[in-house]
Amino acid sequence: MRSDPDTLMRIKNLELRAKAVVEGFLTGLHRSPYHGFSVEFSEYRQYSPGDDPRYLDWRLFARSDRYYIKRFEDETNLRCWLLVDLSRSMGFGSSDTPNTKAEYAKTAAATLAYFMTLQRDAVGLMTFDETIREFLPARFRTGHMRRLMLGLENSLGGKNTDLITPIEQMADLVTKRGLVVLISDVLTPVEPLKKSLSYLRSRGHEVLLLRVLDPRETDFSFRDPVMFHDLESGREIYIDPDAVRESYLKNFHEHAAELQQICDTLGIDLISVSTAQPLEYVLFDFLNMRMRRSRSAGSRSANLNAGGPTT
Amino acid sequence: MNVLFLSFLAGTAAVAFPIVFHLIRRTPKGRQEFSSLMFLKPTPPRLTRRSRLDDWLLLLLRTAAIVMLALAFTRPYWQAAVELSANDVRGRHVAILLDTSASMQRGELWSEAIAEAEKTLDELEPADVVALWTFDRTPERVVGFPDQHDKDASKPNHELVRGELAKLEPTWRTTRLGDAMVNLAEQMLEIEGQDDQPAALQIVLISDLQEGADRQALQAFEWPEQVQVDVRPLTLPDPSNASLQLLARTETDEPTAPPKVRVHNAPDSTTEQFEVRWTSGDSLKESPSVKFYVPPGESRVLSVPRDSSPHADRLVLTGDQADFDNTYFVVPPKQQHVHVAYLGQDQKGDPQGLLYYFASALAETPERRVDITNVSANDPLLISKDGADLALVTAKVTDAEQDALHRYIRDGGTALVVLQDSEMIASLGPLASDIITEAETPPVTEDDYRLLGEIDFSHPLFRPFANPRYNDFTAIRFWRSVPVDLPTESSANVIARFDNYRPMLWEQTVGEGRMFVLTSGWQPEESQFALSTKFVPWLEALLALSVEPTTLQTSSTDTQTLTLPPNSENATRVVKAASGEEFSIAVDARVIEAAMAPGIYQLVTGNQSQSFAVNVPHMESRTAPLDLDQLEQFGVSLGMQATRTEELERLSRLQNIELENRQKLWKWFIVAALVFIGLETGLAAWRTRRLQHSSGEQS
Repeated sequence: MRSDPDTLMRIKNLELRAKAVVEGFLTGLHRSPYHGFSVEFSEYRQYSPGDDPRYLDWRLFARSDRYYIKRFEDETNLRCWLLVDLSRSMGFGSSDTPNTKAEYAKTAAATLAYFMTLQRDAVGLMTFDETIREFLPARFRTGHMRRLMLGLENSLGGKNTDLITPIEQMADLVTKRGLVVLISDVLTPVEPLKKSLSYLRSRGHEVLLLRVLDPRETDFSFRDPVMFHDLESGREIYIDPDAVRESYLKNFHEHAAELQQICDTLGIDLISVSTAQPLEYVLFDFLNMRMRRSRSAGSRSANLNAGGPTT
Repeated sequence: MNVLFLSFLAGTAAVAFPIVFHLIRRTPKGRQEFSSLMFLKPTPPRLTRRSRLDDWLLLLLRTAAIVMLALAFTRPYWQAAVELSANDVRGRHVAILLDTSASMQRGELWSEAIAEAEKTLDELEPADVVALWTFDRTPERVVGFPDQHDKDASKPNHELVRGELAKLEPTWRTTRLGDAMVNLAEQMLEIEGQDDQPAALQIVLISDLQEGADRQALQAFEWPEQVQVDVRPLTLPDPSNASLQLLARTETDEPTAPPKVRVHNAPDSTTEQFEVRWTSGDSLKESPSVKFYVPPGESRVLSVPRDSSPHADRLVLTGDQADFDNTYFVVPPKQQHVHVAYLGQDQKGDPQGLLYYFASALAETPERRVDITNVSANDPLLISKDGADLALVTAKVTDAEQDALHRYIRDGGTALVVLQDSEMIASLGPLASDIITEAETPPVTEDDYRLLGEIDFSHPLFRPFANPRYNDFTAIRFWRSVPVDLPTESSANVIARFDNYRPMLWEQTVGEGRMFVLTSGWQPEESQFALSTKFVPWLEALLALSVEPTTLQTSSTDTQTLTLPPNSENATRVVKAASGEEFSIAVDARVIEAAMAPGIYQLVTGNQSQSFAVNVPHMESRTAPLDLDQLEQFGVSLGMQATRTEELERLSRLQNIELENRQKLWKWFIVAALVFIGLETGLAAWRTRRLQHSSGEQS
């Protein structure tokens, strides 16, 4: 059963909302053609000199008298950090959708957190606008989920978007490598973002960028000329949508293409979601992305001599 | 329908404002919040089709109001059928006033002036009448305005003027600009006064307007408003001009000092270095020149010695551009011989005698030498008009001498008789027939003296002392005099009297000559006259009366006027130029105008001749151009009168304005504009109320 985003969003409790999404997703999963996917993937590889002997599978050696390297056995748990942008621009929500981008982002974050917790992965949270508002380290323990949900719910909308500083601070705070899920509308210049994302990537994190956009932002389907008010800077200008639509879409798509290119260069997965889309799709896209990444990572690691965790 | 001010019709362009305001969409009141404006640019206000259709009636009313206002400002009127014809306007009276003074002799000025005059003629309309006047010392009418009452003469006289122009030539006279302008203005006013219909009066002044032009007459003249003066100043490409002038010898100068020359450089000159030398017409030998350094606008006086050329008759200046005033003619000095016939017993060296002082006072000068001849009773024929210029009688004369003296005076001679005693009176015979001898006791003491009580300073003998600085004769004491008196009916003219009213000096006309009688001697024994400062000037005046000068001097104030010596014999007189040209002079003329070409001229009277020099008047050499502002300061209205076409246009415009003033159509346009504004306000109010009403119902 797929939940309608409108009805889902009417559930006030974020935890409940997350549960509803995940459960809906899980029930649907059985019918999915991608069954058999698991994050707990492991493989054996023949030992070659230079490999860390710590990873040798001694039991297999006992059975077969051959050296095999056992991989991922100690990496059963994924460390995941959810970076949620709560700047003012995220507070935009058109009349077509009942929820703002921020609401949608929070729900998406809660859903992912719940889903991860179900998989016994450690989940951390960071909400930010131009500074870090809330920070919870990645843990897997009783009550952590609840704290996480509270943290999400309590985070209020901030001011301007600054993706640079919080990301860099995050990179400094988190030393252990893991998955970083950045949930934002990324309505900022892309060039500085590239620097901070590459910094994050260079620390060994896997980065997933979940771009939340309102349908109005993608199609600019306004009709009447009115004064447009910038939520972040407070600037007001007179806009006749008919006159500027074309140039807006052109600029918007250029920006998106640029962002996509940066993500491709840095090896970052970019998922663009509309607030009109059901959250299951997010989850689905997320898992789909993860699966592809695991595969490509698996095949890549199979060709590599050197071992190492490549979550 | 016509309009007065078409340019105000441009005000209808203001209808663009309401139209544009209608078409511009108003700034929306709604506000849309948006996540980021980073992909947006502000839209300029633009015209939309929708708003044009919205309020077309209001727009129409507003436009109409503006158009009505603009039309009201254009002052429309209904054109009446009356049209002005060309005959309603008289042509102008244009007087061309051409400068023919000496300064017009410079460079190409004259040809320029003629060209300018012809240009003026070309510019005239056929309806204009023209007169040609020239001026220098005096204004002269060359071609007058045709008589308006004479039908035949009223046709244009442009060709006549053109023909006369070609005959004109510049003269050597001074410029009296003021006189000419005043005279012409008065003449034109007179012409205007004769006409029923006044014409526009225009003077076209063609002149080099040199600084030296006399403008005094303008000062005392109130320039008539209706006479406009158009000044066409003529200029030379290089205006450098310097002039020279020989200065008269002053009393403080040494008798042998070289003559002094003043060189004046015009303010607009570009050169400063000049040379002056003496030269003469017949000799090619040039004397050494004197260098003058004169900055523009200044004068310098330097001595120019004529040692090496005593017969030079002219000073020549070189170094400037205008030649017309570079030669200054001077009659070469010639010592005059004055013959005095002396009738008396005094020895020349006797300081107690009269002759000693007479001879000493008239010492030889470069200009004059006095020869005193003792005339004895044996050769009285020596006393004749040809042999003596003056006869001095200091003693009793014989009958023969008395006859000779009488004849001499009658023929035009001058005699001075100094009475010594009553016997001498008797010996003079008929010459002293008037004199009444009176008895008087001779003075005993030193303090018993007579002073001069009454002097006729208007007499040529005492004229040198007419100035109050010199007319003090109280220092001269007379101890002895011959006591005589003159009857009241006597023809003698008493010039000076003693303080006891006895005559001291009188003049008696005998025939053509005259006799001066002095009742007291000048020697120290009789009076202090010879020792006083008055004696020498007095004798000089006496000589001047008795001798005719060989050179004539023009008046110092007006160098172009020459006072002629009296022509008692009514002889034929001519003026001869060096070139041989002759000008005859009227018999009774006292004064002639010496405004010929510069040079040395001879005044020939019978067999006598006197020389005089004619030079370019000094004021003509001041060639710097006059500032036109100065003319305006005198009230002269400068400018051009309107031509007939312009005048016609002006009249028709005036007529239109009058028509418009009578019709006052603009008021109706204002009323219409107000009506439209009222309608617009009403309509707008009605609409607003209806909108409010409908929105109230909706809510």
